[in-house]
Amino acid sequence: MKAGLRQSMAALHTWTGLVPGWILFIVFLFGTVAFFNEEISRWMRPELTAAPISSRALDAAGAILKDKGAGAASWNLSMPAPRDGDGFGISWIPAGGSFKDRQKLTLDPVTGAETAVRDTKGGFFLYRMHFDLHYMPVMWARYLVSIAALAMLVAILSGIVTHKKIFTDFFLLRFGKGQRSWLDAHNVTAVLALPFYLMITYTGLVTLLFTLMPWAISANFPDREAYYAEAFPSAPEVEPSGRQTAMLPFNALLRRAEQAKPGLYPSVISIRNPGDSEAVVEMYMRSDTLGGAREPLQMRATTGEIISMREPRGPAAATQQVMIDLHAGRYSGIVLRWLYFLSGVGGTVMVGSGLILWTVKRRAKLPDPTRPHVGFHLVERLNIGFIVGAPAGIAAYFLANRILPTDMADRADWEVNSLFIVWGGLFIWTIARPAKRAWSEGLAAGAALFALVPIASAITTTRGLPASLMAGDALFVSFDLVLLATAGFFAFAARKVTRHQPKSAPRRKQRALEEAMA
Amino acid sequence: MARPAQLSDAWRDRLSMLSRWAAVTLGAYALTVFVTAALSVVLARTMGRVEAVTAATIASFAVFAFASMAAFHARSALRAWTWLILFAGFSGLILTIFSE
Repeated sequence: MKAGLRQSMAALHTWTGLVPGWILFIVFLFGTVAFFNEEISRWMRPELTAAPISSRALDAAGAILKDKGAGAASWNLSMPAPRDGDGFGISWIPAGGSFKDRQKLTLDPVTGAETAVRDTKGGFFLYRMHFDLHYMPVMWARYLVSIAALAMLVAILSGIVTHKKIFTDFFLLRFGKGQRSWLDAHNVTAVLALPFYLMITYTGLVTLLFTLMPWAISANFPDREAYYAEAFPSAPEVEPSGRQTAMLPFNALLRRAEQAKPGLYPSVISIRNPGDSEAVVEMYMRSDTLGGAREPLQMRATTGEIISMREPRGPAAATQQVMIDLHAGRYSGIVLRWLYFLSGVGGTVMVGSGLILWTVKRRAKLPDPTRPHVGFHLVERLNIGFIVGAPAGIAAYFLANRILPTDMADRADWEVNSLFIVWGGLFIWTIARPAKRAWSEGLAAGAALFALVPIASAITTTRGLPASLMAGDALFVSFDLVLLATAGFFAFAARKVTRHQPKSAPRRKQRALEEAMA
Repeated sequence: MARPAQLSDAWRDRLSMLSRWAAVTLGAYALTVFVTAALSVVLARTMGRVEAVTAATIASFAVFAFASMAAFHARSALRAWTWLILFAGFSGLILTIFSE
């Protein structure tokens, strides 16, 4: 290849961006949404009260577990976090049962009274979809996502080399100019949050560290188990004595943990052999700090004596922890969280516009635009199906949460299925239509679905937009407003596509313009 | 004789492109495997094994990105492969020297 560095990197950028482009779009879209996964969970469980946990609720949990969970091998408490969307949950596995027989209750964080909450996976599903995809084994999904992310890293770096005028293009967004506009859109969204994309892609690879690169383990350890045994030594197993001894109340255990680990708060508390004199309490700490030691804490349930505190790991592990925290953004406050979200939206638009640019650039050069070659046809159809279908699917997920009957069997699964049914349906519909029609109809369907969510929410729950406004509930108000804004954006795009009329331009240019929006 | 020569040129271009993409993806990955493993055993001499594994793996993605960009930019696919193999061989040597 005799071409200069910029030309060769441009070609590399095109292909490393296109081939994994649709997976990257999904990863960006769901990852962006997942920055608000706790808030989404809260919106999807409108029955929950959001409040810090009270000592009264902790005592109530203790009483319920002692009564219903007597003789259980273990008890679990999932503690509500400040942004929490899962509520205060307790669970236990009845004596002699297995994990399948696990009993779960959601309690009010203030009174400790049992609360009936609709069955939903909430924001957690959208978060998992970001790297585990769906309807396929988790490991396959993680390989796919990791490979796409590695290609993304190469696409970003080669994109930087390709880009001549990073600073000037920052201020350039020319509308209504066909290919030029798509390139501008791709450049502006790419440059605007460039450090964010580099950070999020690299740290994303680090979250799935050994998925693609297990070789350093192979070079130093006989197998993965040996590595994990050394990296995460497990505390010695404590055998139950068979003697009954009352354990300390949860409130006292929490005070004890606060003394041992100031500033950290458990997200999950698990008690092994509850009621036994050798009962052990394990506390897993919340991950809402940037870096820092968060090793679980173990103590004796009867005395609160600390059994083991895993030693903080070394600098490499600390680096890894900071990278993972930067990626997940759980440490961020509300302003930073919105910046994360908006940068994610920028990334989604960057990937989407890059995919569209590929077709726009090539359409003008097609020998016969009415009969494009297979590759072009495939890219165009995948673009419509993913860029329009996936967001519409998310709208359907929210809509299903509000309209499916609360007593429906496997309700949470059907919410998830709704997402894919709508996405798949739109995909098939758009394949059957001419490209321009497919875009405008798909976008209009997306707009309608997003607009329907706040309406359905107002009808089926007591926490619709008017009620939330009256109650000054910032989270519910913002959620509905973001949905309406998204609906507005989709409607605007649909209108743009439908109304697009090529102006008097040279024939070749005119065609490029027309199809740029098609 | 002009036509068959043209045809074989087209095929040579195609093969060279295929070989280049193989270097950019699989070749760069194979190189990363050796570099990461070598780096981890060298680092393991100065820090704990677990730490060395983490540090080398965190760096591995940058190694891949650099290797694949270099392979794509190389003047010919043959050159790309030559460099990849040379560096991989060198890393392999370090790996055998430093691992017990």
